[in-house]
Amino acid sequence: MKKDQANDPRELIVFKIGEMEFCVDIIQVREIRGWTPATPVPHSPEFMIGVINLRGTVLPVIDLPSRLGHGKSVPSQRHAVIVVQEQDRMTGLLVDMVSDIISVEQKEIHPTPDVSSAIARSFVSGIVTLEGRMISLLSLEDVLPNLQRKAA
Amino acid sequence: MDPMASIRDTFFQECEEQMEALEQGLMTMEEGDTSSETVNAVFRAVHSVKGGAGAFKLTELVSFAHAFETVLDKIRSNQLEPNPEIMRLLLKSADVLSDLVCLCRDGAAIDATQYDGVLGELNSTAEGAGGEPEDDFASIDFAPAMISFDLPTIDIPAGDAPAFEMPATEQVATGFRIHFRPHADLYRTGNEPLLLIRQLKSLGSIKCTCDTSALPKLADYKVNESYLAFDIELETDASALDITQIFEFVDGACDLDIQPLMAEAAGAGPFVPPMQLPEFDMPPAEQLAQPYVPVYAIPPAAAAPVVEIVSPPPMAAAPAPVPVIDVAQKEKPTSSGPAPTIRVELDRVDRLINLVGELVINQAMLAQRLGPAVASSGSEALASLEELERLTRDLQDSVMAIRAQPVKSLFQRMQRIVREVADQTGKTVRLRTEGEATEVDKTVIESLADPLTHMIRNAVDHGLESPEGRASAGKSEEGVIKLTAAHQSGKVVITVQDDGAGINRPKVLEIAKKKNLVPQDATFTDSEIDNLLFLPGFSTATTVSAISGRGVGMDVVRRSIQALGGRINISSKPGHGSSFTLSLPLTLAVLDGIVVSIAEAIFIIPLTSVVETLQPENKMILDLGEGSHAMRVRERLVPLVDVGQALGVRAEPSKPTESVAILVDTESHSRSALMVDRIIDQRQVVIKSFEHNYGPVPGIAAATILGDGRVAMILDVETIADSKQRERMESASKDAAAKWAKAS
Repeated sequence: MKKDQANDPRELIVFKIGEMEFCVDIIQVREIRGWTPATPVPHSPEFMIGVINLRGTVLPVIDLPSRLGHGKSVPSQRHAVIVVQEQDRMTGLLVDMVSDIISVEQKEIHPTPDVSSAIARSFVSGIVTLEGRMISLLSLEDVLPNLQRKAA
Repeated sequence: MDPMASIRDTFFQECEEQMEALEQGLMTMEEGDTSSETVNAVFRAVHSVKGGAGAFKLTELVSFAHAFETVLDKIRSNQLEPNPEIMRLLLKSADVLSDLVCLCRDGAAIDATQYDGVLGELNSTAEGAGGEPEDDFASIDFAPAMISFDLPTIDIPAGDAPAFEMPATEQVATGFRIHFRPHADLYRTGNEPLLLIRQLKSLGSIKCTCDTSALPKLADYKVNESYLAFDIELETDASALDITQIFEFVDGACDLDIQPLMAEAAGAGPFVPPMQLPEFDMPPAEQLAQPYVPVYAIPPAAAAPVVEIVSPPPMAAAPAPVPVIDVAQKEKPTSSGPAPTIRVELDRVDRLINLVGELVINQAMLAQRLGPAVASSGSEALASLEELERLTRDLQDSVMAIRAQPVKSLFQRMQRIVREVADQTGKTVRLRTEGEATEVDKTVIESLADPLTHMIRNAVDHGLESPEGRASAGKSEEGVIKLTAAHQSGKVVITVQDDGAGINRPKVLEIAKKKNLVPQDATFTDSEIDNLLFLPGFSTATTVSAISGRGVGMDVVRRSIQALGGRINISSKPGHGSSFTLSLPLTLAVLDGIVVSIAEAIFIIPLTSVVETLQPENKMILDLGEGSHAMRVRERLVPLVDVGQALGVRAEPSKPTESVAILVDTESHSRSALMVDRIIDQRQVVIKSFEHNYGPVPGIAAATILGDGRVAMILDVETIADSKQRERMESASKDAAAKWAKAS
């Protein structure tokens, strides 16, 4: 069983932040939508753009470039919002653009090299090498705010 | 799902209703009404629980219910006088029974020693009353009872005997088994099966079971057809000829099969398939005496919470039993039958409510977008748009009403709390309830149970004096706690009032100072002292009692009431008692709010906390330095709160004279004026959870979606108006980023 899982290819959604490519597992992605103006949330960190109405649900949207230390984005129509689900919580991630969907085998996902920056160490759970491209697999758990700690 | 499991669930749901009926009946009895109607209602409730429990082999429940029932039966037959002592025993038994039902439902282990005392008391009471001790009930075969649980048994009461006899194995008699299937013609010619069955009864004792197996699916149901058959067991000395004579007039209009009854187990009638109609949840036989309304159970009810929907039964849904039962009902008029209800999973209702919420938002968006165009183009489109708005609003109200339930069940639970605490403290207490029919959203009722329990316990334990204390104060020894509910301007107001000594203010203040909860040199008004009770870690009881806990009670009570969007107030009169008033929103799904703008952002202020709005003028403003201001409103000085700054959405402090001040009332009876830029609108908004996807934000209670589809925040007035909380909020804001940033 475990062996099968390891050999099963994983589908990943690839998106761009500046020139860098990142990806998330397609299982975690609920939908991809265009940018709509968000309502700012008081007392929120800089990378939290605000909340939008996703068919009646209040959806927080994170400025992913800012979260990853690439500076604050100025959201526009060209930006995309990837709606991801982690446990039962949904969050929108603002990215520059969504490029493609790739299918990779587990063995093609390499551990994050030790030398990378602090950001990479905390938010990237692996590196996918594909046709000369280097795509960082985002660790959603770490990118998204920790509700437990916030409540405490 | 396992069909038995769903029947079991239905049984426990019904048990809950029976327990309510039981409690209510006992309360009525205690008040002195021991008419046979009341006693019968109590008996019926216990008996139904016993009957159902037998089907599921819940032996402990059956044996206790049996002992309970025996005593009730003695009262019913006037062998036992329901004096106060007996009443106390009955009430205690009701509590035990209710516990046993809960234990059985949860499949928990039952500790017989817990209720042995009460059981013994019941048995000795029953024996003391004389009369024949009953057979060993354990020997009664309960299996047939399952059948009666599923299918209606038309029962002709014979004198004083219980309305529904458990068929016992040892019950052997000669007689006949009659299968009687009336054709449609029989009804068409004006014949009535009930009369025939009644004639049969004149020959001996009968047991009649309705065979509904031929009943078609509702869609195929024809009004003029006859689908029901009756299986009658007749114990008689009469001959078969006597029986055929009874059916003489309907000969040809029915199938009739008369078989001599063998001398064997009478109750083991094989003719009734136990689960013929999974979609119908037939009431037990006893309930047939009441106006018959089919109760539909959604099959996968599981243990899902169920909301009761009170509605008139759809006529098409009333199946064949109607012609028969209609007559039965005329013959046996009963008092206050339960309102017709259907059981629906709470999830389904919630989904509907959510959808309607969406519709409301969409309607608002549509109106906003089409409004200008429609207004110029013609009145017809405008009228339709207005009609749509009205319909949407009506729809929303109706959907909300589905969730509304009377507070009665909640209040009845409090009777037990009072009894228990009164026992433990040795006080004599009477709980008076008023306004039990007041309807509140189910979630509000559920979340109210704990705080209310706390308040009632407190009222008995701390509020009321000891009997000696009362006597020396010239009061009757029996303390009275009044629990009332009423609708008041769009809110539900619940009051807990005791006639005890009232709050000992000097003592409260002394304790608060001793515990360093307030500054040593501060002076307080009476109402401020009363409100000290709500401080965390406060307790006036010099000895910590098991009942009221460690004084964390009132603090927790206030927090849970606030979480519901309600308020709690306290008022007290030394020597005359104290009164706690809860005011709660009717629903947690919508609220009326004032739409304001602050630094280009839109916020909603809940209307419930708003006292008035005004435009500050220079002469009203008092500069207190460091950017803080106060405002004089009718000789009262209220702090001016710059909401924009408090929330961190505005860098520069706003000028009071260029703002609108919204005067709000807060919990502690203190007033504050919130400064906002502009008031835009006043409207009802649908409350959306903010915390689910985001987490709690200080100063923000929830979110809503505006007509243009954008999200707006609903302000938490309590936090914003309270200067201490505001400071905490501002410092929390500085930590926010730190908290979010995950340490690597």
